[in-house]
Amino acid sequence: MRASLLSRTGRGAWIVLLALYFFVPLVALGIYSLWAGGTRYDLSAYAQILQDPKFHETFRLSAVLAAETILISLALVIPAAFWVNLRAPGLRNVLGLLSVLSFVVPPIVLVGGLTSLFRGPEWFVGTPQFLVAGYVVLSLPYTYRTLDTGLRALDLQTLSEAAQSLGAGWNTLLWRVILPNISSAVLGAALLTFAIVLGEFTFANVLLFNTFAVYINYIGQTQGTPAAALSLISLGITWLAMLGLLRFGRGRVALGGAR
Amino acid sequence: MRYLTAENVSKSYGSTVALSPINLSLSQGELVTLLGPSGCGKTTLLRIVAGFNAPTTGRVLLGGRDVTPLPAAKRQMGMVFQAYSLFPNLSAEDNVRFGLKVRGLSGAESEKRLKTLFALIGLEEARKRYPHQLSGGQQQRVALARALAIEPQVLLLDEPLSALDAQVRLNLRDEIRRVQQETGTTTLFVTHDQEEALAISDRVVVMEKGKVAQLGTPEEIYRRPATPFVAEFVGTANGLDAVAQEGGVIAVAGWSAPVQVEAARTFAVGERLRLYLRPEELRLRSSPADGHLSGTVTDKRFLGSVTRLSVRVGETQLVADLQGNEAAAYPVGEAVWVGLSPLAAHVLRATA
Repeated sequence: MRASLLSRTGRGAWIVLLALYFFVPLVALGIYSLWAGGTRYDLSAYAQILQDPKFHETFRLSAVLAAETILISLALVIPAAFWVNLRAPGLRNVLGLLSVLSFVVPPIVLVGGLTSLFRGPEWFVGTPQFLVAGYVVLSLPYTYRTLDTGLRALDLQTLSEAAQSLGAGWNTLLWRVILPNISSAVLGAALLTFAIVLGEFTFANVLLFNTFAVYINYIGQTQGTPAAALSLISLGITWLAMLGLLRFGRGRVALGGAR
Repeated sequence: MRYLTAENVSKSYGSTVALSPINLSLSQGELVTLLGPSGCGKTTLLRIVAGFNAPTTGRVLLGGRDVTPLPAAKRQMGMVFQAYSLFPNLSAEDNVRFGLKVRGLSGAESEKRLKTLFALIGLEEARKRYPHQLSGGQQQRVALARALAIEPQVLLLDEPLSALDAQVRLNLRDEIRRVQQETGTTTLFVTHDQEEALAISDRVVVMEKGKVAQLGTPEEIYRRPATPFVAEFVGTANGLDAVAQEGGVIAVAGWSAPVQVEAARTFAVGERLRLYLRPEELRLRSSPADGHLSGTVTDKRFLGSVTRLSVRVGETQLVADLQGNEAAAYPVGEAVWVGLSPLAAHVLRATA
């Protein structure tokens, strides 16, 4: 009795400790972001950030780059992962290994490689679009893993053959059968990519493009309370994205098997 | 008239022969079953007909037209798979509608066909349900409706019942046959279950190691098996080694006296044979009688509709099936006399 009470208190204390560890800095950051000098607290730091045209500009740029990265990654990875799972399961490990290369190669090396690989054309390397090339590689581990897991949950061969016997070509098969059945994996991959692109600093900074992460860094180094406010805003954006993922992920179709 | 023909079709993977050259023709509206143990080539043949595998040699003809170069999507053949091939993201009716949508069929026309099909499979109330809300048997019925929706020229069934419970399997098997006959769809059915094959087929192709062992009606396959393999694979049979003697008399190994079997007349004296006796065709008596062999009841199994007796005759062990409570007259350990009906016994040349 005593022992169980003790262990229960111990567990409770542990959880409280964990909560403190996570939330104290956040609360402190929140309080600091509201500080307006002396004993005054208000939302002026938030107002300043939200009114800063650079905030909107950089956020919009990063969001557009993220959308492009998502589209390109999905267009590359879905057919590849589908094909490997269906026809060449032996190559799955090779693809898995390739996809995590960006974990092994530091971003600073990657960006060096990119600049020496792409010398032109000007409309590509001269604009922030250039970053997308690197972002696709950076997000590859997440997109590939997520989509591969989604595809593995399906009996691809039977589904493909069933669709084919009903007269469907590869296009119909991918769009009407495969994609709808991995929609939560696709969404997961998209959100992860979005978060990565939004927070990516090294590429943009080295290549001198003004993205959201570069802006956050700039504010952080030059201003006090607005930096705290900005951190919380970007944290909020990430949380909203995660929430969306959880909401969407729940109540998806149950796969396979009989009742 | 020949409707679907596999002409000289074979399949090899490197030096492994999965299917030796096979010739098979189906008439319109016929249900033919490919029966055999796993690895006998039955699924390979079905997949070649479906267009999922290319044959190494030979061609597939449909209504006189060579369809061998056509991909599966262009063959207009409906297929039902072993298990759970319904699209999980689509409701039962959308699954059935899939093939119609691909063909660009109008809403009214496809609605009409859906109605007919769901009535045919008796699942009108489950149209809006998703595959995971359906039982295994219901899923397979929807898969059948989906395959029939495109009004296929040929229906291909790849062990559609093997993942189901025994009772469901029995019901669905009869249902498949009823639906097939009602729609008059030429059907190629693959199974390893001999009872299933006998029950629903017009003709059965028994396959062994990539070759056709026998092709015939279910009755021919059961009563007049062409090879020892067929005799032992289809149904239960007592198989005994024997040697031919003069005038239809054979000496069975382990029996004290030779017996008369009409079917053995055609064999040369001294030839090594296999004698097959179906358990339901053995006649038992509890007292000695002319032409009966004496034996001992060693075991008794109640199987429901029949009781299966194990009888020791000489040095051999036979099984005999008795109806109802007939078996009560033969207690375990008691003597019994076994009569072979000379016409029911089947004799084949022994394979090496």
